[in-house]
Amino acid sequence: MSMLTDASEAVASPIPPVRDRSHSARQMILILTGLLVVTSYFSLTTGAAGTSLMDALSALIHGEEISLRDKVVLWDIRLPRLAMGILVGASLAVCGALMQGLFRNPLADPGLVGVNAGAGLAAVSAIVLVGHLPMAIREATGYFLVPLAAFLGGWGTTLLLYRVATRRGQTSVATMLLAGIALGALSGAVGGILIYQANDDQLRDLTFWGMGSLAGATWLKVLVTAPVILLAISVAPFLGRGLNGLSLGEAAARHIGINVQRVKRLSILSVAAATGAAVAATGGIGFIGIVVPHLLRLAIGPDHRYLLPNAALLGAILLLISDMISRVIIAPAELPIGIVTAVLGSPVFLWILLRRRGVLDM
Amino acid sequence: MLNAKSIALSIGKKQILHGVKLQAAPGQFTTIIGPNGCGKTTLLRALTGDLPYQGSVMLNERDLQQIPVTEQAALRGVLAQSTPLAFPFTVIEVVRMGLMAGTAAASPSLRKTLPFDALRRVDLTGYENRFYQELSGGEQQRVQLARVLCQMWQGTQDGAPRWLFLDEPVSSLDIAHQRDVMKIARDFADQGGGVIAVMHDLNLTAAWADHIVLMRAGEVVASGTVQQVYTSENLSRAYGCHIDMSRPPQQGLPFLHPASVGICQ
Repeated sequence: MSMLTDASEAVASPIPPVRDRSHSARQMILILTGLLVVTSYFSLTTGAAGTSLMDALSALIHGEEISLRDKVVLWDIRLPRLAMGILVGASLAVCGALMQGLFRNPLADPGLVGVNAGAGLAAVSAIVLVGHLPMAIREATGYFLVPLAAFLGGWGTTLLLYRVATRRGQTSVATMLLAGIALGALSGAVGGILIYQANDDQLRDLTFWGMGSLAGATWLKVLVTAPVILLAISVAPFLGRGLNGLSLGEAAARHIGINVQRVKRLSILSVAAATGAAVAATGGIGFIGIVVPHLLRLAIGPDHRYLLPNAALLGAILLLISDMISRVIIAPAELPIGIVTAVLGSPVFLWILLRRRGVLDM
Repeated sequence: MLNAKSIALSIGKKQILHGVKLQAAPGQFTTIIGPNGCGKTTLLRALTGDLPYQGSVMLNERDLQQIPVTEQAALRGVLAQSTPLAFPFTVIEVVRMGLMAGTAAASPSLRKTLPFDALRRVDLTGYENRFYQELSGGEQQRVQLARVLCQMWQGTQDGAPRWLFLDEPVSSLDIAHQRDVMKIARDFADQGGGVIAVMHDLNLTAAWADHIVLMRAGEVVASGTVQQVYTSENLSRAYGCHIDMSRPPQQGLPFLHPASVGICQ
């Protein structure tokens, strides 16, 4: 008999009613999947090319012939853009949730702590300095040079950040945020030097990196980005339990049987890979990584086993909506999507800060 | 059996533990006492494998450093002094985290009822849906104890003793819940498990513990039963101030009246 059961209580007492948030969390996956389908449809039919695409899309679904123009717009512009939006949105939100779980702080985010900046700087360096690289490297990497640079930049920044903020197994959140600011400033400074060096074409690329955009998504870019992001995100389900344990602190997580070192390594590797790939593909897009996990925690609780898949879905939805706004708000021109996510996200971020004022003073 | 030999441990340049020897038997409630900063918690953290140490720790005749993390979790539960949570988990969600390890032998129906039994045992029935972060320090401590009890729901497993490590488990509790927690530790030991607790309250320790380890400046200065360790000489030397032991007639236990403590040197 367990020490928890007294002989006097041999008759099992009924289990009291308990609000089971895992149930609503599972329902949320279905709801968000449905929402993603709807958002994807609107994303395909919204844009400068006009509403005739709705007819084209329904014609396509019914197996009828459509005009070459519609075909090009749908197949070569809208669909890769949609795919990229889903991939990058999911990646940003999952990386935010992973980083918050890892650092045990709801304000941690790859964008906020300078991982995006590091990845972006590496990508920008690759764009501007490509002419100075040895031919062998340029030939070996080819189209992959910039994504590879962003990946390595994101990875290096994450590791550096973690090293700086961790002492004797304890990761200091304040140090991490401040180190992130320092790294961001350093990236900005080096970026400034590169802007002096850049020619007109490169300058346009640099602007793109700074503010982010889904325009220019091609099938080739999607094919290069997808494996990295999908691989990184597919690790997340295996980290849910470990990150839950980690929210008790590293020592307590170990005490309940979590292999803390493994959880940390896998999280860092995933965040670095997915953020690097996302920044390489679409530039720096902020706030999705903070806003999405926070909203989900309010709705379904902080259990990472459900938070991570839901974050992937809601991140994709929010990025697609932001992309639609960026396409229509000053049509026929386009606003960089990073501006839209910042305008939508920064008030939410401030709201989180205000709610946590007392907790942050540690 | 828990057998620690020549445990030495430094944090930064400061050496905290100087060759500590400690033995704890299953079926016994062992407490570690001593003044602030004497290395009690550090010793406990070495025994739970949280801090790298020199020397050897044998848990159930196995070298602690050779036991994989998941097996350790099935073998021992640890209650820290305080456990702040990063995210808004509810009480029942926290307690269920204790089910991640150590309950492999438990049936699915037992896994369902264990968290509720554990909460009842720490007198927190009805708190299931409350947010952990909104509880008082003492209540949070009891929730964490319930989580540990979920993990260590019986004193032995397959005949081998299991272990509870408690770091100042009653420091933030009122007198009634102090008694509850001491009883839980006592019951665990009576079931064949081993308990090792860092304590500050010398009278509670005298009333509940079988085996007492008295530390001072990173060394064990006395160990044995309460009768052996609780002498005015031992305690005065360890705490650096004059302490008189008295013996109230009720149980004949040594009793330390706080007013009898002299001015510290």
